[in-house]
Amino acid sequence: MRGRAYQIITEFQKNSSPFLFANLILELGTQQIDQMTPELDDENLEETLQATIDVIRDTYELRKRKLAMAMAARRKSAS
Amino acid sequence: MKLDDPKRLAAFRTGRIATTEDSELTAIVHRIAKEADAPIALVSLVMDRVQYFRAAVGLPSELALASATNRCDSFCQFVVQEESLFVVEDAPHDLRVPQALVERYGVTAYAGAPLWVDGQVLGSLCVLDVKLRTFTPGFLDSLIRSAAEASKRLEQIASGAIQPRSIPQEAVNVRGLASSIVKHLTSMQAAANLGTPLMNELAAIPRESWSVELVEQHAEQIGDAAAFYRALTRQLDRVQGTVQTLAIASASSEPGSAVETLTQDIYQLGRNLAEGLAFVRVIEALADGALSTGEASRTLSVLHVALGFGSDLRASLAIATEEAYRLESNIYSAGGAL
Repeated sequence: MRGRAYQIITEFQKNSSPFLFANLILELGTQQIDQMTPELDDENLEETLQATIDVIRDTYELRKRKLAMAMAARRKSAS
Repeated sequence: MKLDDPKRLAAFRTGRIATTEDSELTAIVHRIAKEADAPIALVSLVMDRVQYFRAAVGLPSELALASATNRCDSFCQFVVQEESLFVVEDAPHDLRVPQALVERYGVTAYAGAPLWVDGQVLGSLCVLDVKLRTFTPGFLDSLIRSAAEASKRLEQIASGAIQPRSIPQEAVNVRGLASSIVKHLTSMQAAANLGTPLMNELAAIPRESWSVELVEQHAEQIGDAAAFYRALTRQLDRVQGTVQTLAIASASSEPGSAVETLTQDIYQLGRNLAEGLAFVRVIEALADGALSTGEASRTLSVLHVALGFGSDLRASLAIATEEAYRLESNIYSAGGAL
């Protein structure tokens, strides 16, 4: 769909930490990201983009949960 | 100053600062620890910000995990500065040495001999003890001989990083390789421009303010920084592989020297990333619950200093990307030939 990739990437950039967006740049490369203009209509690229974002988000959520659990365990053992 | 001499720092090539265990170096530290009857022995590489333990025996768990300490805290820095044997027999009362390792780990005695590689002292082969003691002249001679052996091994490791094997030139798409290097470096640069300012914010918090509570307070950001670092190292691995192929293909041709310059720039990038590795290891261990609060608090110094690698990384990336563009342009001007 025309402009879909642009919409996905703009929302991801708006709602994520710069570290996560930096990871997306590393995964897809600046050239591909620069292609994602409001005029772009490329279903394959949309799918690749969404799949990459999903992996980055899942990894981020897992890391966040692990950190929270480790901190809670340390607090418990300290008290 | 010898510690910050660019020629010395340039000698930290990829294989020398690799994280994979080297059985020969490990055997040397085990042997010298036994000979000294000391609990700890290290092949310690004194880098820009940290001293990195390339091989070690007897380290406390958190130091073994981080594989590094803040360079300012190290005794090995004096071996590099003096380019000679450095011996401490009563560290708590020795005004020459920093007291951080004395206070945290009870280190009281140290003997380190220089590791000479490519005409530079990269670090030291050393033994540490937690009791007051002396080192016999016979042992110190042996330490120097073993340091020469470890130096030879470090020379070998780096010379094996790029194998001088031949690749049929027609099999190599040099334009494609050069473009791929530019593409990856440009992406790394864009990512670093986004990620490193946040790391700099953390690194700017004064060292004395660092505590386990502070780490927990910024846990999400620090965890993201560690993951970002891992992604950068994966990207650098890809670039290194491509540069190596290009280096082999261009070994006997005119642009070969330009590829060599780029190879040096990539080594520099690898060194900057290696400086940050201690930070990543500590954070990952904290997230995995592998470090207790007490252990974690003893790693804060290296964690803080390793976070500062971001600024150096951005500078190195700018240089390497510029060099890659230049090389790509030369290859295109020459019609894609090497």
